[in-house]
Amino acid sequence: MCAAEIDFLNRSAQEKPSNNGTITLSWNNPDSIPVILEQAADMAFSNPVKRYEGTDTGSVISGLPEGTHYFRIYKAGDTTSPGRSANPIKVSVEFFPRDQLFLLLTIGGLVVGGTIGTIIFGYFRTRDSVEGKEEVGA
Amino acid sequence: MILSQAITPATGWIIVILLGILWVALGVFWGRKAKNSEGFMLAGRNVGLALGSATAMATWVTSNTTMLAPVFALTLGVWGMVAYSTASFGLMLFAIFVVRIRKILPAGFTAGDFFRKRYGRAGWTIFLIITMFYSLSWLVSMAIAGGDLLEALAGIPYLQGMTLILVVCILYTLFGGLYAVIGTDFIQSVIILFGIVLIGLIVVVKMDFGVAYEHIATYQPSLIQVIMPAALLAVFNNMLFGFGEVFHNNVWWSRAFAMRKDVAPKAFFLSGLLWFSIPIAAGFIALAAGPLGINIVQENQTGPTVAAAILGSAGMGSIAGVLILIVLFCSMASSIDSLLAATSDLLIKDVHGGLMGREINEEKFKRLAGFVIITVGVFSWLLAAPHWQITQALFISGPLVASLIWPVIAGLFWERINRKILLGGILAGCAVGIWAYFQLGWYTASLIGAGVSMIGTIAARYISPSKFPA
Repeated sequence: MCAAEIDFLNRSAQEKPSNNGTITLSWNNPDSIPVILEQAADMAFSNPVKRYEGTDTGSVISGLPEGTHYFRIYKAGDTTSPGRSANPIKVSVEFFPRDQLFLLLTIGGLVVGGTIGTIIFGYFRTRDSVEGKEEVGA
Repeated sequence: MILSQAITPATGWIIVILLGILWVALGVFWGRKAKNSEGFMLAGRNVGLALGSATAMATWVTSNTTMLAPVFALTLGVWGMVAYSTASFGLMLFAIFVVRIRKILPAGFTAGDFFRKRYGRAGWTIFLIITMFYSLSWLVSMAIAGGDLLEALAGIPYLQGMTLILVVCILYTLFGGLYAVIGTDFIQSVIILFGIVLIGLIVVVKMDFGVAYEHIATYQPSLIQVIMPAALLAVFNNMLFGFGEVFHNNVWWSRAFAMRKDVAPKAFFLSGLLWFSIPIAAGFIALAAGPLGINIVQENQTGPTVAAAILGSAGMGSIAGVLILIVLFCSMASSIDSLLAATSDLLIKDVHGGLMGREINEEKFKRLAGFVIITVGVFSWLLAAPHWQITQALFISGPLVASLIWPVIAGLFWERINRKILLGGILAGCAVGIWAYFQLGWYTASLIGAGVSMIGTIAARYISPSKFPA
């Protein structure tokens, strides 16, 4: 009897663009046979890179640069061209837009700087004050 | 690699039950010191430096730290590690707050006392809604994480594992109040530090740093990229989320009241300093996954998966699961007990005594405290039982707690404010922050919530302000 075909699960969810360079790939492997996960920059897998080999049913791929990446999964030892290139998955990595990024980083710097500065200033301004009479909960 | 049942269910049960018996026994032992409500809720206001810094650090090392910090490093790289560590700045800054808190509220019990005094019933109610939402989602997310962990590591069914962890924490909090919480936190913090340092050291020994750098630069270049947008934004976002969590929550205010006056600032600063290294160590372990050829199947199991693989490769296969379970169990228990105690205090003092206006006398206090702790525990169990993805609720609370940062600062250090504008700023911060969470990404929500509330608070300082009531 022929082993079940290895293929990615829920393709539409896995092909959603990533905004941080991380994708979670999962595939079926009911017979727990060794599989190989490959990555390439083109659909034809002209220069593939092996990302995983083993019997697991998924892999978290992180640190991908911006751009389009292709992944394929196949049984280890399968050298036939159709078997290897069947149904690769296409993932695009699009980072947060740079103009919005620098605006938000500026806001972040102002909010954090303002918060820490106000606390330190407030501490020095009030450290000698006497408010011991104000009792709450007593 | 899948983290599948590194230990047998019997071993898992034995470890958790033995630890549970230890914590409960210590809880009963320390609980004998709690002679009155002040002893039970605030450990007699006499906690020293060692216990004070250990309890603050252990409470802040939650399941999120040990489980989520590795995810931050795995997905956001070096900036992700830094982003998670910035949550320690909240503890360090709270050290400055403590001085002022003890001046303004020398006999205070809860954070609610401060909000009621500074912002009246309306501000107090807004605070209670936000803090209850945040505290319960934190508590329930840890109960869920505990159940998940026991299922993944030991094959104990989720419901049984989650129930076990909650029952143990409820029991020792019930018997010992804050005395038990602080005492067990001390032991738990030592175990957590030992476990993380041990795993980190093994990684250092096993890894060739030159090869590791080459691997990451080739296969995961974004992890070491200087301009990594999501990670850079996460630095500010996480820092402000941490500020919001620490500045407003009764977990920290109750500790501020419980520690000796001269000790509290040092204890908070020291705990922040110690805590800073933990996400770095936990994240460093996760960054080693790629170079060491460890395949991560589920993002949320990154930490335990890598730790199990590293300890296994160091010849500690049989005890790796045991060690991981003990460290993670301690990190969860140290936060669940604190939240149970602090949330119960808030319900007793602010809701039962404040909003409902009921008298709390010393004779009935212990019974009431027990009833409230059990009720909070049962409510958490009911929310955790369906195994909802409540972690999402915890993250959504980021902009809500961040909106309270500036109102706390203003209430502590300023003399006058326009209450209506300030409260409007809190609500606007919450609304815009939640919008940002869904429209721009989680890594912007707390930053935007805090920013909007900051504008509202500054406006409230200058537009027809009135003096805070004495």
